[in-house]
Amino acid sequence: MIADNQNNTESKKMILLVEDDPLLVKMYSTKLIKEGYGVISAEDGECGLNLALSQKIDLILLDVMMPKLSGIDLLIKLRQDPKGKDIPVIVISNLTQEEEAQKALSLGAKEYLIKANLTPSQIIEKIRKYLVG
Amino acid sequence: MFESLWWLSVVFTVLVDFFIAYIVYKNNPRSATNKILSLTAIILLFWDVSNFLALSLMDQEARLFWVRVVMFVTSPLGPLIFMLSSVFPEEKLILNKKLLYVTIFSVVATSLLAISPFTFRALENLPGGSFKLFPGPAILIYGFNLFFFLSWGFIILFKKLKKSSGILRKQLTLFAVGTVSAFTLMVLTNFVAVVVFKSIKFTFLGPSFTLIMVGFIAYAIIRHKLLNIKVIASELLVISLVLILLSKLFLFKTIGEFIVDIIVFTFVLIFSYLLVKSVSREVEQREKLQELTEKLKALDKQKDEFISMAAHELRAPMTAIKGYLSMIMEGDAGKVPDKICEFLRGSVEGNDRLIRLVNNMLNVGRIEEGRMVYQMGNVLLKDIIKDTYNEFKGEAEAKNIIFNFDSTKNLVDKVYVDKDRIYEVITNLASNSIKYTDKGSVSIKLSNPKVGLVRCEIVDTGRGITEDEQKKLFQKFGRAESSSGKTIGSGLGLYISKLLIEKFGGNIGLISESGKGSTFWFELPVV
Repeated sequence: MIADNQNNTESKKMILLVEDDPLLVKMYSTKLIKEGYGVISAEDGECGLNLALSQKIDLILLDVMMPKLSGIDLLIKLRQDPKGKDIPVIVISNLTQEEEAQKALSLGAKEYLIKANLTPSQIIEKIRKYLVG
Repeated sequence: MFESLWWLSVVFTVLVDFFIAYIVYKNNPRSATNKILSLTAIILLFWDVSNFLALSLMDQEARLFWVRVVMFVTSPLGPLIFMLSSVFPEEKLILNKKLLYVTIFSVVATSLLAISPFTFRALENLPGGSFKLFPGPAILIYGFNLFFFLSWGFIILFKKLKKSSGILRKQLTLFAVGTVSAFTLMVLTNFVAVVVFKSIKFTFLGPSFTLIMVGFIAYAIIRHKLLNIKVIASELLVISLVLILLSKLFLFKTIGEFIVDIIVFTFVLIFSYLLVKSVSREVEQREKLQELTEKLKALDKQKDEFISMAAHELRAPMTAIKGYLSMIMEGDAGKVPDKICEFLRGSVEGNDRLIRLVNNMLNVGRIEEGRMVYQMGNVLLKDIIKDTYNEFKGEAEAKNIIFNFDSTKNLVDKVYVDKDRIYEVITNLASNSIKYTDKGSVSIKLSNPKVGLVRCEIVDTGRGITEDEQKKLFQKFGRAESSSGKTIGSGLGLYISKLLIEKFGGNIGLISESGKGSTFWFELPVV
């Protein structure tokens, strides 16, 4: 687990990036930090859930296929906890199983995005939409 | 009148018992369940006959004999129901060996005692045709054999029913209802009434109750193997017909009649054989077809799983390539010289083409089979086209093609579609036009040809498409040649575009002439 740029977090919005591919973690973290967000990353679902419930998180970028705990299972457990039930979640995945998308949206995910179809800038535009206010 | 009805009901019960015994046995001769049920049906058939004879004959000695035959024939019934409950609906006999020997011993002992004077020691005819029976000490053994095994069988049945679910639960329910109701009634009318209340008034009803049980159970077993009934039923029909005609042969009055009967019999025999053979073949083919269908379904599922996994694995590196390239071009690593930007754009286009290819391969099956989940909403086509324009202007510039976007004044372009899918359609069409145009221009035009309709045209000055090629284009894997003579593309883009536009309630088409460029168009209803 990496915690990046947590200094002066009061004014920054904190994004929890739950993603097991280190290449993509580096890419999204770099872009998010450049755009002025704070980033905490987790390389598996279990770590992600712990961070979501213990840190002050403004939005979660959540991958689906991960070791230890999948994105969907994380979302289920997150919503069962009063600390986690209102955190906005954007699911980013390269899986196009309809069942996964439906499950995620029914668990309150704001969007289910296919990573390969979007640049990091386009994903950040979505984040901005759900972090207004 | 009553006696004729009674006689008819006896004949009917015998025939049904025989029919069910035959069908159930033929349905699966290897199955212990089927064998035991078949045997039970045969025993009930013999009971029916001996019961009838005991009640209808007038001679006291003959009656006593047939009563003893009834007891003999019905001795195995309790144990058979117990065994049937234990085995149902399995094929193998899974009884404890010691238990099996005890059961067999009980049946043998009860049967031997049944035909002796120890079960019923005497019979006395009464005025009015009825009679009175005098039980012996062994009636208790008979009663114990019956009640003990029946009760045990019912307990096993209810335990199985409680633990079961799905089709097995339905079968067990049918079995339980049939067996318990039939046997309760049979025991009441033919044992309790006779031994305790000394009345034979209702004993004639006993065998008819068996139809309840046998019918329920046969239905429970055969239900999902209904196909085999056709063969058995046609065999039985044929056997009955042949037997009737054969018996008629012996009832001829004249030589002429005999000759006609022989000819009819021979023809019926031949055609019956052919009928049974053809029905068997049809059933066999249908079973093979079912087997193949199951195999195909499994293969289809495997194919889908493979494609999903492959798509997922391919997309991961493509995501990284797309992401980093976009970040470089957006200046996140510092200012990028134009020439480098130009080369990077080439990489972006190549990568995007790869991503589109993977998406198309993944989506085509889902869209065709209706498994695609659409996120429908109101979309402004102009916005989608602007995004497309931005995506392809670099590629067009690199080929020195003029690329522009034009819309009419007061355009109504709000449509109810899946945003990502309509974007896919427009990028497919734009990508095709740019790919197949080596000089001149590609223009995207939006207009309202009539009220309630928006039309999007992608006009290019490429080499045009011949009529023959046009026919192939919107089909799966249909491709055209570029001016260099090579086919480009997977042949899925236009096919998918067609499926999607039609799904959204629109139409798609192409106007083209060889050497004079092409116009790909689609129309959608506006909201």
